[in-house]
Amino acid sequence: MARMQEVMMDKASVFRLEKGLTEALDKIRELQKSYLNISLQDKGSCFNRDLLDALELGHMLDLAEVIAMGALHREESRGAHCREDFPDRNDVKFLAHTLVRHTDDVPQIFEKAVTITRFQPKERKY
Amino acid sequence: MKCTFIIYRFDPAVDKESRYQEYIVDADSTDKILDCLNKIRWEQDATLAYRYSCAHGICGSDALVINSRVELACQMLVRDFKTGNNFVIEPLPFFKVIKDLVVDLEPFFDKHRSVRPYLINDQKPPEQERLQESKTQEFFEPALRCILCASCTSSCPITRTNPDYVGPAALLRAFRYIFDSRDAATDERLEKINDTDGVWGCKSLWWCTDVCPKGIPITKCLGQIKRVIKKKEKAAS
Repeated sequence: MARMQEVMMDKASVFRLEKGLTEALDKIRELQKSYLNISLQDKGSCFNRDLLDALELGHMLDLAEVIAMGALHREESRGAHCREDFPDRNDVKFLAHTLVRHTDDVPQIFEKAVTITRFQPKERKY
Repeated sequence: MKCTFIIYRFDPAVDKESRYQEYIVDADSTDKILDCLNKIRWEQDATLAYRYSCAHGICGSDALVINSRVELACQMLVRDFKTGNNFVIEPLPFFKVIKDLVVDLEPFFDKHRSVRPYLINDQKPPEQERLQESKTQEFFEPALRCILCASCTSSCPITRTNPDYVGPAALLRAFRYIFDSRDAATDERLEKINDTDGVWGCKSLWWCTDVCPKGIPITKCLGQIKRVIKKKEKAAS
């Protein structure tokens, strides 16, 4: 858990770069592999927080992978997603929702068009 | 610095009786007691059971007896205690222990539900919201700070002697609706708690006010309920 927190904090937090995100993704996938061998110290069936933590860690690793993949895919800066290597926003390529589908292999990224209603998308200038 | 934690342990699947286990934790003076418990669980003993959720004094999950006093583990720092970095951690008193520091709070919430902790008003809602005067709101505002951590009810000597006593936390919630001008069930609410299992169980011992981690003047609020009941009785006679 500490290793996952460290890599996500260092490489996939506010300011992001392709190199860091690739490293983060590799690291997360490595952790996912070692997660397959996770063991519990608490074998009891009553208020087993150890088990809860282990289950949560599995889900968080899945999410961390998807976060890194999405951030890597989106080669622009938009809202809270800030790529130092792509400082501008790119509506031509990325005015879309990023979706991720679980597969037997690595998850697969695809996009969904944005339905624009009341608020027109525009650059934030403040 | 080294801190010694002596922690109450009981696992119904293994232990016949409760026992105390000692842990040495390397902690800073600004660490919360909850941080220390986490350190123990993460680094030494993953079987230690205790509740916590938000870790910032909002959810009310981690009320424990720390050095003989009921406190929230997430609100107390190591340096807050003048016990030479020695700590004794026990579950809340009065309630049944499920495991280690986790107690069964179901009876507590049963009592909480018994005072009908929600707005009762059968009138048709107005077009906009039901307004509350800010002065009235100020009066019961302290009661809104309650996070249902059960510190008061488990510390109350009356709760311990009369298992049917509804307890300070539930009465505080009743207080909140009795003095809310939008609530239409004031009389029923007062009648429901007008006995020694209700508000007259309170003997103004101030333990609830003393331990409340949110600083709510619970005893005073309960006194206001008593005063309203007496006033109404006087007016009726």
